[in-house]
Amino acid sequence: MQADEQPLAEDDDVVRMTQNERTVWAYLVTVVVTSGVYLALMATRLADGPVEDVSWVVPMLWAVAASVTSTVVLTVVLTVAGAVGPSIVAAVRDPRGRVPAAPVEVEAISDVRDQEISRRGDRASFGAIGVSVAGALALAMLDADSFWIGNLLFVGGTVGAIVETTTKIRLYRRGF
Amino acid sequence: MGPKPTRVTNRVRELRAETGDLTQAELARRLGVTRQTVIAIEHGRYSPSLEMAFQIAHVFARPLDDVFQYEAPGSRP
Repeated sequence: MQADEQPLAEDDDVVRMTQNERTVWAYLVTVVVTSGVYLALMATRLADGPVEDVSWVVPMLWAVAASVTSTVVLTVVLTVAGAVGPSIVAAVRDPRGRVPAAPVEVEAISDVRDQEISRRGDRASFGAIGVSVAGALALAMLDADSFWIGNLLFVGGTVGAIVETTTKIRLYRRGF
Repeated sequence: MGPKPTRVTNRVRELRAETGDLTQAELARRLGVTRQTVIAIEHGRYSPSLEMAFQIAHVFARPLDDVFQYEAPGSRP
């Protein structure tokens, strides 16, 4: 750290994520986990029998529902951990030391930078989603099994979500 | 850290230090942004909009080009 980057005396010494960045991280983790579990299940079922017999609708609905609820829960957990974590760490490291009397304030506002990052992330996901929609149309025209159409759209949505969230995290961390 | 993504540099950190009691949190509150945005501006990881640049200059009661500078491609540092 250069001399001019040393924290000024009045600055907080812990740089926390904004609420939006926490949500992006939570979304990335849950999408990877839930989609990974779903796709592994489908791969197993495909290996066990013909595609016409593979039951995929209910597992996909569960995967989508789990992704949404897990994102909300994980965001709340990360927010609470971000608010009280520094106090707990300080107390554990130095039980007799000065510990903040109250949990640190959580910044809940979404500002212009968050909105710009959100726009750029959304735009980055359009490619993956567009390709999967075009592919699904082509499969429908070729009379492919609905398994392939539904799952191509699912994979497109998953890849789009991963591209979107990693783009946003890169913009939060490296700037633009 | 890699090269900074913007050619706009600024003296926000220096001016905060000169002001004495203006923390990142307080500057963020006055601008209506998060402290992380102030940090990103100070570290050259985010170029604020023209309107926010004027707001920042107004907080420090300085002309805009006292706070922000632009290094044109090929110009000497």
